[in-house]
Amino acid sequence: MTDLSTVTIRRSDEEGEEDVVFVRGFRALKVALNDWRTFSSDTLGMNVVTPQHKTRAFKQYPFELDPPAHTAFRAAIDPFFKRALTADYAAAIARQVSDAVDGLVSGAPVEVMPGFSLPLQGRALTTLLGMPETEAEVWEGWGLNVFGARRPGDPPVQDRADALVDYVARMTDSAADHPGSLFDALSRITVEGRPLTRDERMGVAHISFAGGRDTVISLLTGIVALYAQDPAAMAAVRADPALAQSATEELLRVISPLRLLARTCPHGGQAGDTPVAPGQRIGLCYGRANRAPAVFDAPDSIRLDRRPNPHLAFGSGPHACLGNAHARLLGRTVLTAIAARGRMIEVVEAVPEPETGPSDVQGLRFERLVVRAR
Amino acid sequence: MARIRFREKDGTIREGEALQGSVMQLALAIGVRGIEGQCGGSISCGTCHVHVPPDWIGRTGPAGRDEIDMLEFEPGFGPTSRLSCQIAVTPDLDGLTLDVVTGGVP
Repeated sequence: MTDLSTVTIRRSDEEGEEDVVFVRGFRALKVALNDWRTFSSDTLGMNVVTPQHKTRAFKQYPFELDPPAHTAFRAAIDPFFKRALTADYAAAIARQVSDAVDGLVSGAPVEVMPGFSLPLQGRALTTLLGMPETEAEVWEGWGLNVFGARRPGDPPVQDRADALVDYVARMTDSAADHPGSLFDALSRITVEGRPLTRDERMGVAHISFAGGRDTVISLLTGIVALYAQDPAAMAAVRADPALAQSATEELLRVISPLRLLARTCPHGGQAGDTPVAPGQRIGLCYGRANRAPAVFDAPDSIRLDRRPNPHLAFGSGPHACLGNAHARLLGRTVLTAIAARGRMIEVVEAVPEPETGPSDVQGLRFERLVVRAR
Repeated sequence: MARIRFREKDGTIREGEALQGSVMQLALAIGVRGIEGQCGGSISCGTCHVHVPPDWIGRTGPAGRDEIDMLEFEPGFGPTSRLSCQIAVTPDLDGLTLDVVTGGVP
């Protein structure tokens, strides 16, 4: 039987060619994510398949560290992100979601990504990062798809990358002017008894935007799409709001907001059944693993009450998503808030995202989605 | 009715009573630090990991295959690890003390 858990694909750029082993099987991916000794994150800009080392001169922290350095760093910043588990935080998100849903169900056609997902993601991110809500307008100005491939109308990649680097540098240097914010917290946090360096502070802020932006936009857009495509799903959540919790997990699985990252294998190893050479990189195909038929019964079907649902949408192991509590809260709050309005959502126009890469999967992902409430 | 104690990572004991539901739901209701119960019992998150005392595992039951798959790479995974969302409260559990494995919210 052919082993489909990995596929090796040659990629090339101006620096040369490399063969990347894309890990697509659920078990192989989970093992790789937890084997940091073999599959290292300790790089600058190489933990994404298209390297970012030319777009910034500092690491993303603690994402681009391995244990044990990673462990202490992560433990130091974890409490800031765990604020998402508190009642005050949930109340702030509920208010932001309610305002956004008002616009969504107004009856006018809404282009979901720029008209709903992007602004709500930004407002919710102000809650996560402890910034005034008006700051979201600055982030919105960066447009959609800040970190992904260039689409028509997008500024060049380097311009978009520079805008974020300049922003986190400015905010890091003026941290004291933003009390209660992530930038302020990072100026006070110590790791193993020492304060963070400027690069480290910038690196945490950078990954917070890089990891928390396009991903959340995908999740929010997918929720609206689900309701537009399947009114029964909305009726089910309306009848039983507690369903939103497992429904959020299922949407995270199906959408897999972050579908691909990478690791470097400094000393060689094995991914699934495939040998990996010293220095070779592997691609982490979360989207594919989350459709593994051996793990998820009818993997392409959306079952809002799916259990067990051991998806890898937030990864696994030491680098599991730091923003997961925020994302989960936002997901279930949006699911219940839209359902509670009791308005039918209909698709006006939908252009699905094409499936192009080794980690891509279809379902609830769009290039363009326009809806209207009835 | 079962009275169940939770020993947090720093040794603090929290105690609560429940008639039904899951042990994770009881932990959330009484604010046990380290029990997040993020996924609500879908076996997606592993944030309600506890250790059962070995002499109680006959009453709680051992971890099922799905729980082991979720927990096997988690720090602190051991032979009496359970996801507390998968332990139903029954009168049999009266007097149980569970060790919380995951870290707490300060």
